[in-house]
Amino acid sequence: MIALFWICALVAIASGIWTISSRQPVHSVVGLIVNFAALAVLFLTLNADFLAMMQIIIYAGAILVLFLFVIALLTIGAQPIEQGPGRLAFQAAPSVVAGLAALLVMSAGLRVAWSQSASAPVLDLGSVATFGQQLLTTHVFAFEVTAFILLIAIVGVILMAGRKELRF
Amino acid sequence: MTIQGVNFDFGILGPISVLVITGLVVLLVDLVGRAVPRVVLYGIGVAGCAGAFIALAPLYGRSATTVNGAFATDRFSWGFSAVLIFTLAVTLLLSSLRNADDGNSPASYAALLIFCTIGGLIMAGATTLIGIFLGIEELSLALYVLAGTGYPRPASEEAALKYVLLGSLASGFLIYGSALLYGSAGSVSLSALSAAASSLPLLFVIGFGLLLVGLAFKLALSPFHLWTPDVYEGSPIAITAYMTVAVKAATFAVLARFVYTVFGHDSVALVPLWLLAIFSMLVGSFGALRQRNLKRLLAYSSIAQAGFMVVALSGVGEYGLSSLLFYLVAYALMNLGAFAVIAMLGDGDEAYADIDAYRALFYRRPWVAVALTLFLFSLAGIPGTAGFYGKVLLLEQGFAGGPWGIALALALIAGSIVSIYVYFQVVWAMFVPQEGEQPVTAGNSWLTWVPVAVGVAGVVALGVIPQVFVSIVSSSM
Repeated sequence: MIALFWICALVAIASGIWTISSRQPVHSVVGLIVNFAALAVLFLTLNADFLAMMQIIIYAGAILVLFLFVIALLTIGAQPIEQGPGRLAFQAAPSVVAGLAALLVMSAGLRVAWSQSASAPVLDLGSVATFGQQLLTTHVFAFEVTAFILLIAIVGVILMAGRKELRF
Repeated sequence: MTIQGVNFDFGILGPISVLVITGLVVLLVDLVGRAVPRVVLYGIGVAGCAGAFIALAPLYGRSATTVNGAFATDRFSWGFSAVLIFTLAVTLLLSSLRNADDGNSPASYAALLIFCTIGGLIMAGATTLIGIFLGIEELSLALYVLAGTGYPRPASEEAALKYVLLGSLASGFLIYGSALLYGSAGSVSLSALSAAASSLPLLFVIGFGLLLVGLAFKLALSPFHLWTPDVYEGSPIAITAYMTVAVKAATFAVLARFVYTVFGHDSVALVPLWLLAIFSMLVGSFGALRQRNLKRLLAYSSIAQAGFMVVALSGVGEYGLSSLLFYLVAYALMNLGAFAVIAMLGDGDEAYADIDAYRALFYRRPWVAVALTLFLFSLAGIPGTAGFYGKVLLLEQGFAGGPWGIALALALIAGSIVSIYVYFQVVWAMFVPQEGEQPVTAGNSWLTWVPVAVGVAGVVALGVIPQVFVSIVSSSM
């Protein structure tokens, strides 16, 4: 189990770096798919079956395919990014600082979680049955509101796309 | 009623249910009818607001939860919900003007506005971190689209883009903070968090800090206010009016519930909030000094006003919540009134956003000029208006709230003095006679006279007989 964790963790970190460092947007998407797959395995080791499945089906499946479509649509006939001037040069230093701050926050969180010697996760906490039960009883309000948010997104898209002249 | 172990109280969910039905009816009417005039669609929306008020009225002074404790009606939600529904009605009225932008799709526009308000009501009543986050997302998602309905005005597209990018960043802070808070308490309900708040473990402090950043973004508290002037200036005028009041009302409901339920007493962890407030009061007041565009000026003023409202929470005193609510009601009346005047003069257009257009307004449209003067006096806190008594209540909370409360109260006084000069500039422009050619003033729709008249009546009533309203507000708790 420990070996599996280390392999997946290293794959996740490596693919994450690949995602942000590759020049081709399509390569970034592939890197992200690998990252999500590694994450899904990590979820499985934590007994979170449902989360692992959703990670694969929704993120790796649906959302990244959407990314590919968007990249394919937007980069038709576009110059590769590296040919232009480095427009994000100014942002490098602040984003490194912000990233380090985030790392500090995360490590502080981890340290606390470690020191509490938290009880082992309940075995069936992440199973599909428990999740469904919780979703439709304890969290049914959030469930309904989420459905409503999707409706808002649809109406919003219709409002934006239904303008008299559509342009890209 | 209990279904599968979940109790539903449709009385508590009443206002939300009425607005959901209203939004869907608006969409369906547009679908079935051909070219339904927008006055009809917005009229359905206003009728829905009336219905929501009727559903809200029996909840006055009641305290109960439903949907297994995930949604509540209590002292935190009633007053804020009433302000939200009122704001929605005013915004719909302002949107029905002839030149008002609605993205060429009045039904989607009205439905989004209504859904947006439902998000605000959810924020006001949600008792879990999940519910609060979903409410904020619902409110924000609809507003991102609405900010861009001034298309093809480039400023409106800029506003939508800026709002969606920075708003998403703020949501990131919110969700990450919520996750850490959940980790510190082991539960998403706010009442369970209070145990962690009393011992302040590191995880809780970091989580609360991130959550505060997210909320400060939504409230436009300085230094997280940088998007505010551009977004408020670029959005259609009715949407700007809505954003200045509704987003603040809903987010303050969340903040107040958090401060009172989770902390319940003054805490070290709240110091960043006080610092944000002091900073906002100064930045907002001084930033407004140089503005030549009235929408932008009111944007900076709303930054300062958000800081003022935080003073009510200082010291987490017994009467803090009612002071906050009183000031919020006053703010809603005077701010919506001022925006209604701008919208009325331009007939829903942006023509009257520039201060120069108000030169010698008194000699062309005396009643409009007098109404706007009253709203601006109230925003400045001149005695006899709602804003004055509101600030007195806030100062009372501040001076009773320990050293930080006194610092906040002093910042409030400083900010108010600066803002008096800001608002007087506009009033001065309206009352000084001007030689030569004067711009023609358009627009005199009776629809906008309704919010202006309600605003004037409210500002005067809250200023002259505030005790009546204070007792109404405090017995809703």
